[in-house]
Amino acid sequence: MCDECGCAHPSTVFLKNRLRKIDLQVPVLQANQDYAQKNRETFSSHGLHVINLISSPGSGKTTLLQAMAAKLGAQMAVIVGDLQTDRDAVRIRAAGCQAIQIETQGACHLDAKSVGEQIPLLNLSGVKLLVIENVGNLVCPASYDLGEHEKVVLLSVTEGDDKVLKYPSIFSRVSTMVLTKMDLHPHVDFDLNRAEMECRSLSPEVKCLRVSAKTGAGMDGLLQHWA
Amino acid sequence: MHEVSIAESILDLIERQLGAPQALAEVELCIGPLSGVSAESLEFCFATVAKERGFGVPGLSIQRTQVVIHCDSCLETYSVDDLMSFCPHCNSWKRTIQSGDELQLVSASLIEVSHV
Repeated sequence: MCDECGCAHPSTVFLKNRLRKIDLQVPVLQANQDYAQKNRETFSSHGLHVINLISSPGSGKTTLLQAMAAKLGAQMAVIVGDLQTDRDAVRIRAAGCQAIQIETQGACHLDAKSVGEQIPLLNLSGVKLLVIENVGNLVCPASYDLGEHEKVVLLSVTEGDDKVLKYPSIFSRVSTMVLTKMDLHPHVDFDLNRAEMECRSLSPEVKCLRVSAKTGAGMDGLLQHWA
Repeated sequence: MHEVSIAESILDLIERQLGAPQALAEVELCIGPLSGVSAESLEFCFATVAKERGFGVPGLSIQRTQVVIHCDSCLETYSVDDLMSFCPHCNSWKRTIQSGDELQLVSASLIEVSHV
């Protein structure tokens, strides 16, 4: 038997390697896009508006959702991703709306399949707005379509106004940018106009909002934007 | 970083095409600056992930694209590697990104062993 490939040929002496090139021309994340399309159809069949909420860790995603939950209650539902713990889902539920936690066990982003698996676990009657709070990360979540209607990015004024062009893959795909922690703005050197101008240079149609979830400033405008 | 998941997705697509893992000589990709994927990180992990899954130790050939921009002020089209610069023709920031987020599996080269 041939020692090389296990066939019935008596020897491995006269082996010849040939290369065969297969043209594929397919998006690397095709499987994710297929799941995302299924999610989109499910969301539409329930009449939901779905937001994929993306930011770096600690920029105020969960605090903003708590403030939104206090106003919208059962009209909003949240799927929240974190590497570990259900702390965010607990906070959002306590603020007044249903929330499901995905623990990614180390993965740095949510994908469409993991989100799709959570949809049947939600009670969607009366829900108009579904927010998917992504894992805190400005890089990896940009690549993964979850089936959302829009990507929304948060940038807190404590992070610095130079972040937009440092992370173009996300800021070029957003329809809304929310500048958060505006109550801290008097204490930091964050040029609001620079951040908004640079975001518009990547996404010309982007809607820019300024909010303090802590004081409530700007919250009405934010809720009207998604009403 | 998510380049290991990207490597897994590439190999999933190839495995679906072939039916089973098979020794590969090279995989060809096209990656744009706005894809959110680091070509260097992917090159670093790809052969290791491929070997673990029974695809041999393939090389990675990456075609890097540029960001193609339409200037909304002077209406010229130009290409750049990053988005830090103004329009080279009129210095405007007003622009529409036309492409640059490519993340495409182009081809896979299989090693076929045959007896002469």
